[in-house]
Amino acid sequence: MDNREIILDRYFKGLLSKEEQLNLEELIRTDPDFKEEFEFRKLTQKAVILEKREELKGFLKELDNEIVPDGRTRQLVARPSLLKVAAGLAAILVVAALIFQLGNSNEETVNSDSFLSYYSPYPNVVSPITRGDEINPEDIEKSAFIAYESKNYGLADSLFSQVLPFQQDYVSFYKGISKFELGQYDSAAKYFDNYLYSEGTQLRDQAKWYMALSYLVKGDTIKGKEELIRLRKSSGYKMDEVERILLDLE
Amino acid sequence: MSDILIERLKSGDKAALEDVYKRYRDPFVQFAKRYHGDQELLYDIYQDATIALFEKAVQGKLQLDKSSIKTYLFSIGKFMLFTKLKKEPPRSEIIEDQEVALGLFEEAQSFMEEPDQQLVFLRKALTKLGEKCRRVLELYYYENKSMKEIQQLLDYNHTDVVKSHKSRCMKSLKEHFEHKNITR
Repeated sequence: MDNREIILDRYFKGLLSKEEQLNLEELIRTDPDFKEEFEFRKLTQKAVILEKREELKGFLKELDNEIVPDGRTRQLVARPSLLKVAAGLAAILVVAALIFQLGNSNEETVNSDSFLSYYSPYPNVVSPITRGDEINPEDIEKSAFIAYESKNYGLADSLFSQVLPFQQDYVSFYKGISKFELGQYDSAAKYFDNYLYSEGTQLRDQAKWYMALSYLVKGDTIKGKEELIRLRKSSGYKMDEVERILLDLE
Repeated sequence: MSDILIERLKSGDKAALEDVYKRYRDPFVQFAKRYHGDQELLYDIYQDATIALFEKAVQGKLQLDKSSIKTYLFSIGKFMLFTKLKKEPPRSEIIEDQEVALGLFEEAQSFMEEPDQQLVFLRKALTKLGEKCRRVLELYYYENKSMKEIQQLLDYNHTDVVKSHKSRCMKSLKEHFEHKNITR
């Protein structure tokens, strides 16, 4: 890197010393080309930040629909006229029907997606279930794993949610797998990530692997690749598969 | 607990942003109602406040020695609200720990600043770039990552490869931008 490049780089990383700062100001004053380049990069930085803010804003707005409304928010929901509610419901029905149809007609194309072929649900290794066990219906975690083992992922997903406040580590992981099975890859990636930040140690490599698959299947190859590289660095789990996918991605 | 949360925010973890957002939204609205009654607006402001927190954490500029996540969110949110309503913050809001408060007020103002025309064009030009270019620029300009870190994250062979990739991206960005400037 030439000197000017270094000074620009250090400016944007906030690393300039007093002397370099003076140097930079001098260059801006005396060299119009340098000044133009500097201004353009500053503008780029602003633009990149605004783009990211907008993306995050969309993400947070969607969360608002998820948060259980308390008394105050419910009032707000109740305000729109009946007609609006009816229109909303109709729209939801139409969308649901479309999704259902798409889901059916595209089943083959989705299955043929090359990354999905690497996926299979992870076995229940944390909560063994023996036939004939008497299950206390209040034992929600057990019920969740029974649903999970019977591939009833919708039920498993909602039961895991009830356990999550009390058990965050492996439940996050299995909730992630359930979300994956339900085709909710964004959400799946989030739960694998939660697992990685929990106290859990047993399933770390698995969580990284499934997180990478969630990104890949959803089409975010850049993030998927990042996760695979992380996995490759930290362990030899699924080594052959990881190598193969990374090669494919080249 | 909150330390782990801050670490997660620093690493750019969106799930951590979600945790923070959900945890303090209703308390924030409860708190901010004394300044303004429109709940929709308060949600909007609260979103910006959490985004500002996330941004600072990711860029390694978040210093919470004296205060907590909640205190930061409530203060910056409050100042964002004043900015939005085009009101000066009441004197009583500034009296305590004057320097910090003024700093936050400026931060809020710069966050809410309306972008000028140039910036609007450049954002349009950004969307014309490929996904990989945008990711490199995001890591460099938003997450404040060094070339070395970007090389490791995106699995390049050498930092020189990142540098040349980045400068190609910038060149193409400039072309799109100049094109926009001419044809506007």
